[in-house]
Amino acid sequence: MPESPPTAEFVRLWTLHGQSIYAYLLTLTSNDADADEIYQEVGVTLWEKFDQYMPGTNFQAWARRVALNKVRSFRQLRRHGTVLCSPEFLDAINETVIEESPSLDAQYKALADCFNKLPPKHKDLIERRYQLGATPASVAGQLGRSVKAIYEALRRIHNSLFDCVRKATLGEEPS
Amino acid sequence: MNRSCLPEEYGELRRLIHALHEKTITSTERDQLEVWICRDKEARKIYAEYMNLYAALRWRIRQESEPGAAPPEQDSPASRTPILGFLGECFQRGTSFLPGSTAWLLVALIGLPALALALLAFRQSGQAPANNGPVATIVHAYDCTGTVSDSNHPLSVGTRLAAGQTVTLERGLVEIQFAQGARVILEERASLEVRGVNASRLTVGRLAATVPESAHGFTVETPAATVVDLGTDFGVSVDGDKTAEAHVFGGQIEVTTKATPECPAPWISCLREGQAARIRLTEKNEVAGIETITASSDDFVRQFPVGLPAENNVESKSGSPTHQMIASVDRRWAVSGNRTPIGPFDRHTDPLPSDTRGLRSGVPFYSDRVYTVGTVNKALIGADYVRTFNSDKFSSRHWYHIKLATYRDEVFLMVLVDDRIEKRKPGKQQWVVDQIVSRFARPGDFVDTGYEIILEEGPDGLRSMSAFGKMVPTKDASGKPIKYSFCASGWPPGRITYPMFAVLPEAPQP
Repeated sequence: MPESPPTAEFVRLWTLHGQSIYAYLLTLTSNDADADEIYQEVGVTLWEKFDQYMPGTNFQAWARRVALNKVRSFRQLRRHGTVLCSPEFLDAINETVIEESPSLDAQYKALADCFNKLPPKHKDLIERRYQLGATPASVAGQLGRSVKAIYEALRRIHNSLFDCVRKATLGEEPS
Repeated sequence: MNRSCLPEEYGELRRLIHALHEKTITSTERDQLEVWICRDKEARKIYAEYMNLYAALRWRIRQESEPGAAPPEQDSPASRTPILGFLGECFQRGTSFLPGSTAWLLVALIGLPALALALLAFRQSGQAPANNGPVATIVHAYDCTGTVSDSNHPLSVGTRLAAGQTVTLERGLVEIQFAQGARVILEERASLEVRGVNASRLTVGRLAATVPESAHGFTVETPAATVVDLGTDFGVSVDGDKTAEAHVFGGQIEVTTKATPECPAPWISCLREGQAARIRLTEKNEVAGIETITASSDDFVRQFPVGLPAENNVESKSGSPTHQMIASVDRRWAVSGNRTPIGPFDRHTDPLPSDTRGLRSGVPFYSDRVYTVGTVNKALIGADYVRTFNSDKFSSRHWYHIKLATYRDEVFLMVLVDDRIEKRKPGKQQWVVDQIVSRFARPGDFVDTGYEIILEEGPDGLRSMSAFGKMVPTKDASGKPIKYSFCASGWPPGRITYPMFAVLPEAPQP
């Protein structure tokens, strides 16, 4: 069935900004399961309210406002022992993400090159780690190595990717 | 700080973030991380960048592992990712996934704009004055020229303003206090209509408002949108090219765009501290676009210059300055802009004249900001100085060519640089100075005098700058003035490398 114009436009915008909204949610929640769950809720809410969206305006900013409200509501219902959840944290992080949005987008774009520069073993480890439901322990089981060794290896690889994308985007920042 | 390479102190932060991500963090570590992130802006940035990295890896790898998925691209269809699977499925099913209650939700959503319009109309009528008595007063004026409509009174301190009167400011600054308590600093080339004890309309220009509790609900209407205070400090600007901006420095505001025949439903947003909105209009004054941006308190004069009397023309010069030791200043290849007090300036616009009394507390410091000198070490008082441009912090490299008055054979030439450079990296301040004077001096020639000045940068606080200097000749062997060329570069990131130049007849004595 052909999509109606608003549907097609929504899909286009959601596709374009989905990744950054997901990153925003993971930053606010610091928990991948929560981010996944809220992400779907945000998508549905945006679609329900899409008639309020004014074409040509900042879809990402609108989506972020909706996402932030969802995170706040979600936190009232559920609290984890392993997430950062004070209101101060949420406000401060929200401000930082908005402020750093251009550099975060640039780092996202730089990641592909940095990832391709990894040794094959490191790539493999990262790919295993980010499969749905995977954990350092499950990766350790697959590879017959200790959990501690995998944990440390992942930490080093993440740090290396982090340094690489920072370096790659350094020249794009204002002086 | 070199952002590509984190200092060692952040090694522990990286460890904690990794532990958080892998869910091995202890409650003590979690509390430690949370406090660290809340208190340290750089830590927040690092945390956000790591989360961005984790999210991007999840996104990328799950996209690739999806059966039949296309190669990973940023703009690939949403429905191909597991995370987006739900929505993808929804779209395949058209809109039938919407729950039954959505129909009622949509009815409510359609009704909301009408409610907002009614509320806005109520607010505006509620702010209309009951009579024609004064509803606001000009309480400060700074180097200003302008007019007050329908009035024989000049634009000066003490002028009372009735509802409907418009202040047109051609130059300088004025501060207007509204009867209900809101205070507004209006910058040059602005037009503000006073509409009531707690309401105004800005048709062009820039203002910063400070609103006490008694005046919550203070309104600034613009051609593009209406800004209503919800307990805050905020700035509003209306540009000649049909752009309006609202910036929140503290608290919250509500921004409502104008309804038009094409778009009867206004955009309403509640902006909080640090947030801003830019609204663009078409030639027909219809809303063309809205974007949320980061608030920039630096773009507004939020505090009346400290140390200046509340009178007009305090900067007027009479006669030759007795302390003039700088004969000419040529600014080259810097940045363009439009800021108070100098107004529009380009890459080669020369600085405003410095205060004839030389460096001392209360004198204006920059050409493009109304910041003033707070305190000056006694040894530096009276030094002739250059009112550099704060906006040049956005320049990657620019030049100041300075010629000195030749009635003395030698003078003590100084470069003042921000102390944050030294705090971030000990020893780097000397390096920055050496770079700035590298055209005519060797590294280490300009030495730290041990003296400093403190700038008053409005609500943003105090800023200290250390003076590095050297005795230099004013003229060459033929008696011609020597041109000293200073090169300010963009190191380090953080926009703190804008130098200031000053001259004393002799090296400062302890």
